[in-house]
Amino acid sequence: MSSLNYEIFGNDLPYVQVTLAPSTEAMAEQGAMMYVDQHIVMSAVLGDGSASKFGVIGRFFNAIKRTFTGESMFSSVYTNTGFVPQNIAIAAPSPGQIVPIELEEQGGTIICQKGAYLAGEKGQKLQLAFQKRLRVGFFGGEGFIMQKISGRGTVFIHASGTLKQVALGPNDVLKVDTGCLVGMSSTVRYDIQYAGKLKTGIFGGEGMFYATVSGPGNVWMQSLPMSRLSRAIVGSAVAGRSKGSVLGKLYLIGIVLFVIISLFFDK
Amino acid sequence: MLNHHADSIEVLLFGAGLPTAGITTRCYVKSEFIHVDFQQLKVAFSNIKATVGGFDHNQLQLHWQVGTQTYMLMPANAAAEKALHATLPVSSIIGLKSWKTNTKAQSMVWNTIVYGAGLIALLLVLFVWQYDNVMTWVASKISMETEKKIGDSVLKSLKLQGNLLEKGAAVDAVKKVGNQLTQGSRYHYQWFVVQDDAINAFAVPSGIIFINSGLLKKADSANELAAVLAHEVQHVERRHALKNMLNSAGVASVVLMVLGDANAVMLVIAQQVSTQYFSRQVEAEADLKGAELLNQKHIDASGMVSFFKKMDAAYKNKDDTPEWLSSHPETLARIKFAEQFVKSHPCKGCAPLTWDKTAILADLNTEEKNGKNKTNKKLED
Repeated sequence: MSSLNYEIFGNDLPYVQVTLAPSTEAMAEQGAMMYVDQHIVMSAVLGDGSASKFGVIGRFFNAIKRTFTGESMFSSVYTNTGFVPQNIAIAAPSPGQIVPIELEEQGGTIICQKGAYLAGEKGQKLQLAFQKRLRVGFFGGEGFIMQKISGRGTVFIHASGTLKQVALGPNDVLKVDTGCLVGMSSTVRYDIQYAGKLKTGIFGGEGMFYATVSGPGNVWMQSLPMSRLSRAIVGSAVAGRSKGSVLGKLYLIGIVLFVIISLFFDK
Repeated sequence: MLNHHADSIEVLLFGAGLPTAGITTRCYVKSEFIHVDFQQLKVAFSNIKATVGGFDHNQLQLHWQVGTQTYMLMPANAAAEKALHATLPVSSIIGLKSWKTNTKAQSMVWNTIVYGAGLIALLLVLFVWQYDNVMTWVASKISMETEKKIGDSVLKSLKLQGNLLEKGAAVDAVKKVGNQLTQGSRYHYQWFVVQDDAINAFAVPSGIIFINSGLLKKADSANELAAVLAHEVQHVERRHALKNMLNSAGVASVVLMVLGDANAVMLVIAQQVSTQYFSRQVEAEADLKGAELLNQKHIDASGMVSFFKKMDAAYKNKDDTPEWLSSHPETLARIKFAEQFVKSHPCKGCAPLTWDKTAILADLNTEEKNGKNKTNKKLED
């Protein structure tokens, strides 16, 4: 199976254009399509379209499990029904980067943060990876649930900020800020470590814990986690509005009071 | 694959110059060495260290040093891991023992969490399902002394109101019927008549029973009085009041836990709701057990039927419901139940109870006058 023929356009607000040979298919998360060529037919499939040994009920259950990983219950399959190669363009849902990963090069399986999956070849499986270490789940910055993408061929993952891939040899250890981890090979050990000194933990600005990843395998990191970006945006948005804060609050209270009073003078 | 070994195990080999995802090869264990097919590596047990690895923190990773380079060997799948672990001597490889304990401890933690949560959920369901029985059981565990204390304090506060009759013809009549009903009970019963024209009777824990004078006036026979008393006696015997108290205390504490502070309004609402919860089933139980008690003491239970009918009529004629009915099940259902009970439990050779109604009425009248004089005097003072 040859890997996908694709090209990524843009830097911070990218999209990926995949060229599908006649009667080949590609899969992408719902709502990510930018445009498709004339002979591309789009259809929604439950979950990742893979079969379950429990039949329809099993597939439905898997699709529900999938929603916990930050994806929707259905995904879109694009089929080229024409006789010439056709293009589909899948856009990143937020500012960041799209990274193509060849699953065979990663031993067939990668673990990603919630919602990292963007698109890939048909037949790839997207499953729920549950973090079994309590402390990593609580303090690791990724929560207890991650995505496990397995199969063959190319998969596109997306994360905000700039993405960096680091190859770790056996026993190589990298300290990562919690939340900056996007993905890793399944052989990578993901753990957390106490910042060490109380002073560093409290005043260091990096939190009480940082994540450690140890090889062998690849890890992908992001420069700007979505949580940090949204905090910055919300922070400045609130700061912009809060000029003359007392007046603003009185205004809000006035509106609330008006609504309440209007309830009593309905007619 | 030249010197292919029969017991070889599929593994992934990592190291300098090898792909990051490792290469698949086979290895076998022979006399203190691990032989790897790839490049015919031969590693002594003493150089190998075992660690826990992988996303699930359960992979067996064996690594060793060659100069400055680190090599690592990992079973390719679960079956290979089992096979490799079985062939390696635990004592001669550093970290192999702790790998086993680590992976076991992790699965134990999760088993504990899952089974613990399941057990708690099961207990909770069982508790909700068997709530009535649980409350009955807890109420039965309250000691007689505690019950007595509760009863005495209620009696004390009622005595302060000054309308309790402790002796006289009316009290004696109640006592006579009551004692016949409660013979052989573990409780020591006390009987009082309350000077109140509302048709009502009530019981307090530890066997203190109050009958309103209004009820005495309304009753036409001692059997009707016996029916009411049997009902109230069963409230005491079945510890219904204690059950209700426990229930309101439980509801109040749940409300407190949910809301976080003792909001007076919420507590009152909780009280209202919780006292309503048991009333229906408790009253039905008291009816049934009361009827059985009457039968057991050879008292004709038909007094129950006639008194219920009287209450129903009083309810229909007047706008205000008799108090003894307000918290009770629908009267028609109770009449039906009592009629059926009398039919199915015929009271053979039961002599009707006797009482001197005129003496009781006279007694009540004089007490009433005395009471009025007392209050008048108080007003004049």
